Amino acid sequence: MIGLVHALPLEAPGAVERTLSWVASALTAAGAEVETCLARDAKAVDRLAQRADLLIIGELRPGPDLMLAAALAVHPVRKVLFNFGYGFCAIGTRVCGRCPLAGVCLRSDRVQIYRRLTASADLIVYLSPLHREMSEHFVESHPERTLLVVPRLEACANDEVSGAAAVVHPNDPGEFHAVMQWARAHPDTSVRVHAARPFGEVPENVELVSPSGLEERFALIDGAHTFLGLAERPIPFGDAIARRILSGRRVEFSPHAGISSYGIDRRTRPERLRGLEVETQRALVSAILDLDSTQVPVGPAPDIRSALVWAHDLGMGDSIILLPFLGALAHRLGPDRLTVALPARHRALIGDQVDATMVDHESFDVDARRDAFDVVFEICIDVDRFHPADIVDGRWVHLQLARQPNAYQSAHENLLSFLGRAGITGPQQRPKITSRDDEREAAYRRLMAAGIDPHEDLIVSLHPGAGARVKCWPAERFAALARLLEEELGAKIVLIEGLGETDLTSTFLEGARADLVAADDSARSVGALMSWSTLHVGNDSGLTHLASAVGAPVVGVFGPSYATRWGPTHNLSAVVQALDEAGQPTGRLSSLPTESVFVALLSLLLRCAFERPSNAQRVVALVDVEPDEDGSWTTLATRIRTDGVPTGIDTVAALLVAAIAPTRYDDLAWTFSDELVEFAVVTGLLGPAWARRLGAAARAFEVVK
Amino acid sequence: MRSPRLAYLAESGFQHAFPISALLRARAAPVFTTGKRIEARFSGDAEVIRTSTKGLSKALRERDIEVVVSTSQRIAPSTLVADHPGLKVVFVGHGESDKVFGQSGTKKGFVHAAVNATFDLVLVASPAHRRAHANPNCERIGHLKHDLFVHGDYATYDFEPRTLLWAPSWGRHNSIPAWLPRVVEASAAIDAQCLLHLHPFSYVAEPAVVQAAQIEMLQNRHFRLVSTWNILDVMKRAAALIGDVSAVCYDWLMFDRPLVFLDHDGLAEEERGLFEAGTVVAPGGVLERALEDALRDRDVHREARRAAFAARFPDADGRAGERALSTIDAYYRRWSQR
Repeated sequence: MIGLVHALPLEAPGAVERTLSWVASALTAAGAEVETCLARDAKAVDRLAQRADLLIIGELRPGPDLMLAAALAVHPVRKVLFNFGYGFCAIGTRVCGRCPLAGVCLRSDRVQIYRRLTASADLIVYLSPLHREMSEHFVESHPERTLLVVPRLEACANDEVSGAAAVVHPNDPGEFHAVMQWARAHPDTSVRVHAARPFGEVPENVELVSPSGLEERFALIDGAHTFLGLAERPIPFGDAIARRILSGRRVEFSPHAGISSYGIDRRTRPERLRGLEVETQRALVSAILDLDSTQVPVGPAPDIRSALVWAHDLGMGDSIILLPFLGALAHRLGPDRLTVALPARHRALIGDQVDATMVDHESFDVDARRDAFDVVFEICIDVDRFHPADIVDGRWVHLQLARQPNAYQSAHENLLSFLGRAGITGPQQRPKITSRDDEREAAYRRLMAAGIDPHEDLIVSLHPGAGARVKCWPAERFAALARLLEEELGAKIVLIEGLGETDLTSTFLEGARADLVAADDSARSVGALMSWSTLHVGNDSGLTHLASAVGAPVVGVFGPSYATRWGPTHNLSAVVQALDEAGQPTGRLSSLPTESVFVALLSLLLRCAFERPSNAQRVVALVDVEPDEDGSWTTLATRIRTDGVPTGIDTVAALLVAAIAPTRYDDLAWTFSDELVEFAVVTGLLGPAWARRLGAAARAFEVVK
Repeated sequence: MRSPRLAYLAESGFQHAFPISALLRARAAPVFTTGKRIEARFSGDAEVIRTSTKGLSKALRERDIEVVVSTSQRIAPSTLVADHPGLKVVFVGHGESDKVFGQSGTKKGFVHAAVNATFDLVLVASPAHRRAHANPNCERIGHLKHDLFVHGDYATYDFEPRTLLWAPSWGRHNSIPAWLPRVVEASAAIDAQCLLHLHPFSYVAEPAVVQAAQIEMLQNRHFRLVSTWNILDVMKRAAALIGDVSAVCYDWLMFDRPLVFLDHDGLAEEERGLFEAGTVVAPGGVLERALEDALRDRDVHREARRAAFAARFPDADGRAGERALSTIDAYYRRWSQR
């Protein structure tokens, strides 16, 4: 059986999906059994990899799938690596000349992981000579196993060509600049630029068009008099250009498009391009089918008999950040072989979240115990906190949370990619804490007693404190935000008070009311309380990490610390960062107006329900139902509401059953995947009462915007 | 005349510990530090006072200290006398300041650092060091680390015949980026244990380098990362040293055992000064053979090593600490007479 792993369902409309879908069909036609799986479901990928004789790895998502890439790199299954972009590139575009990571990129974990993944592949596929050249500098060359394949191409969808307008879609400032130069050199040509926002001055003959969906973008490209593909970044192939060539239409493009490295230019006849496509794809299918089934490359995995993780001198947020790291080690070693020493307060919070022997750091004599472990991972903030004893005979790994190789990745991702490079992967991608039922129940009763209905109300928890006051947005601003939330959205406010923050609570309450003030609480009870929050707003603090971990979407207000490294880890989160004139993080948090945080909050609320309908599309593709002609899900939603669940979509049925009981977003996402839950929200299957208020939120958002 | 009320000062890194340790052997005094690890290291040997850099001056005044011996070029004398105007500040070098050239061939760092001129007294290890210093109050005392060597069990310790120690530099000099997988593979191929002692600055400035080494350690049992305040305690176990241009290569000369240098593109020609005292493996060269030869034949390059030692350690009598303190006493008398 051949497995195929990819970020999106193959029914999606992109060139990548079209090509992989064709490959799967061609293999099936040749007698192979092909099973597909989405990359985001790590467990399903693992199951597929266990059963497959060969795994085709399509485009992986640049951020969340890095750990999957690491896991696949050391997985013994034979692999075909079908590269469509630059997965090894942290920003995905390979614009090294302007990239802030260029100096350290080659040594980054990301490049190491993709280098290993490439080395472990039986067949490596690139879209063009340019794509290959631009990649091999990073992931190394394996010419004996490399194949160049033109992707599956499509001609323009319509015959209509609009006036004299040229259509472009620059994807980065450099590309935008090239297009503007072209427009200035052709003042008599009207240029329609399909871009999110302008970078710099726009000539008079340029018309900016707001971005839209893929299909609309293709319509614009197809219908243009001339298409401009003036990229500065290296485009692996050039699907949009190919569409124009196949339809015999005018096109201008630069050598930065991979299609030109096949010797193709704007005068190329469509037959030549089509011939190249068919020839290379035939070679690909043949190569996949010819792979020797007896060859099993195995990546190195560390030999660790037992391990101690000794985490000390950490804040609560730091310990929460460790959860995926601990989970990966527990997954690799098994519960009896992993011991974790944590500050007692943090152990009480997260001790039951990891399958390991947990001990209190305060009563743990590391010098007496260290010889009992094969490997010791000592984790603290910086080098000055490390154990002062000599380390000569043991295997001891010093990890500093404040100094990790990739400053553009969050701390927990850095730790996971460290383990990934060492051949250790785990199931958890981000820190998650599950409260016990009794804790959730107690929090529920407490909210109800305060006049807050967790099933009906829009609950916003606010925490104006942090471990250091320099990281605190003024409590007066939190109060102003609370007033806005109450007046505009009718939100219920839960104010969280941390240790030694009585003064902040007093300041807050002088300017606003709170429906509930949670003071003197244990971290666990605060966590259970926040697990009922529709949304949480906090500074760079342990409680903000806790809110994220218990599943509350979070707005983080950041001052001197880098949100890229220490920001909230929930996939539904937003950050408002105070920056100085040079664009660097600054402690002058008072420079952030209340409105900035309010807008971010409204935007996040809208995202929770509305922002990603494409995900719903993907999910529905999985459960074999069709959207309406206009792309909406109105018919399906109506049918489900009136007739119940259509036959055959068991997953949706299960989701509906779950939705009858009060269930928070993160629990559902954990069980059914983010896409399915978002699909349910979009189609109205999961309509938490507070979602009704999103209409008001949307209106307020428009006003503020 | 009495000796001054003395204190020692070390900033946070472990590389600052050995001069203090050598001086404590010669005369007890309180140790001031800005670092937790230094505090923990000396807490059994002396009274230790840890405070912030800004708080040092006040803390020294409160204990009525008259002379402080500092290993730091980052904590300027002006900071230390801010709240304690009568204090005299003496500088004594650690590994970095043993270099007699500036950073990257310029006249900026180490002995050429501008801060050196502001110390009341500078104590240096060698004639070359003495010549390079611009401060007129500069006295040669010999190598404090050699004191530790002489008074410890290092010369007689029964070293492990199949153990290699790799002690690279940091930054552009660091041989790890160019050589890490090769060293791991080569030491495994000849069935040797390889101990890697990272430069203390690597932990601060090169997290990617540190993690690359840690991953190799997790995947290869023969490859270990060691961490110690006194590298002599690791050196004594090793049969041969793998180095680049780190100052610890000079310390290794005290053991009179073979050296293997890993050459790479990050090194300037003038930085390869000690290469003649060992086997040099060029980029792409055969490392296994060089390592095996070093483990098997202790005499290889012995004459060159001993010549380098004699040039580097002209005062090798184990009394640098005593000379440092008698020099301080003499200057104290001079300062008191003014």
